[in-house]
Amino acid sequence: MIDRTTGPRPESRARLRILLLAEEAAGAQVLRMIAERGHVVVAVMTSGAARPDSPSPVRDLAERLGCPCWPAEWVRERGFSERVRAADVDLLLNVHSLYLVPGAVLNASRLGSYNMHPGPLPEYAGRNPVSWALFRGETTHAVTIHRMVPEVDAGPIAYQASFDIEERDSALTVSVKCVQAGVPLITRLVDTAATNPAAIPAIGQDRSRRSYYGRDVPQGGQLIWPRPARDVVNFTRACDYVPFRSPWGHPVGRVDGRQVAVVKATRTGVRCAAPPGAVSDVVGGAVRVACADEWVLVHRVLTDGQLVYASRTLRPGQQFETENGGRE
Amino acid sequence: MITQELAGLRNQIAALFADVLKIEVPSHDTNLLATGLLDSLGFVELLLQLERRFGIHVEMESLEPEDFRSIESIAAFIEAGPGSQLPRSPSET
Repeated sequence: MIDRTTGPRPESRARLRILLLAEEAAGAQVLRMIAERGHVVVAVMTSGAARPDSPSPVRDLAERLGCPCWPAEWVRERGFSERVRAADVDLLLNVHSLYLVPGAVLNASRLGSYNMHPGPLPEYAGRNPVSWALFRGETTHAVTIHRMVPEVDAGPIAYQASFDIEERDSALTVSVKCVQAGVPLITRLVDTAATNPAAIPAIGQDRSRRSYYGRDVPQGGQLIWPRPARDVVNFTRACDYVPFRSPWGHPVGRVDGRQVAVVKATRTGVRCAAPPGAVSDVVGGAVRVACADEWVLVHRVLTDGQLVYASRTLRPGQQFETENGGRE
Repeated sequence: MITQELAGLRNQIAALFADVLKIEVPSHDTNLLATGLLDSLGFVELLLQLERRFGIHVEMESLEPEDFRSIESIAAFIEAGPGSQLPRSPSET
């Protein structure tokens, strides 16, 4: 237990009492790190705790390590902050948890509550920052460890790591880059908290640079073919979590009255003068479709609930509708 | 009926899940995606390991989710070898 009045001596390593809200493999990685460092896991709060029959890497690891496992929903229950105080929690960590943590709980741990946000705060606060960054054509991105305050993603920044977004990156691969860069930052936070908590950076966010995104899907989820190919492809990349579910679904268009969602598309660099939305030739399993400035190669589409090669359902000479959401 | 090679391949993949990805898969036909056993981080690590251990390079543009549904389907995908990612005929897709 840490000395509650003076904190640990510099260079000595305290055994922290940590409450971890976590989901997915990223949460399991952080749990493993905490256990390897010999800290006390007060509890692991994860959605799998309340559903013993459903798979949960965090719950399974917690059970193997002998850590208490609490349902994630408890964080919203009245009086939960008292439970946190009673448990003498030093640090609350949130790694991919699905729940907003109430203000009273945030203040119930001695050294504070920290979140791993997959975006370059103060920009890209809120929901789906990876998808928004891809949609907006960003070429760099970042993961941020910040102290949680009642306003979402607005607390002081402890650590941030940036990385490039490559042309071939999708929402899936950028999300993974966030985890790969973010877990070492959480480790650094825990190590600093254990040796000299006063040294944890707390850089106030520049409110003038803050951008916040909510639940809305851009363009109402519609592909707009009369836009530059870059924009069309970026929207598909922003939704590409294949083989996992995309929070935005996939951008849709209509061909001959039928809805077709574009799942994978790449730029060709070949200029075109055809009407936007025109389906041209077949290239392997893909088809070329005209945008405002160049052809894009549409590889995979979702139609009638099936993920198929585009050439299976789109034929040369067909035309994506460019009205009712298709026009800018 | 499966060959001895395919059975061995399935066991190697199961060991990869247990030892490297730290994911305990109940059986070779467990649906890894629908059950949530495999998430985005685990999936990308799986692709890296398949490339490293089996020389399988998966093009993201032609990635077929069905190939990664279970240990059985991953083994079948690896056994099909190079060319298995070529577009399938409409009747197969």
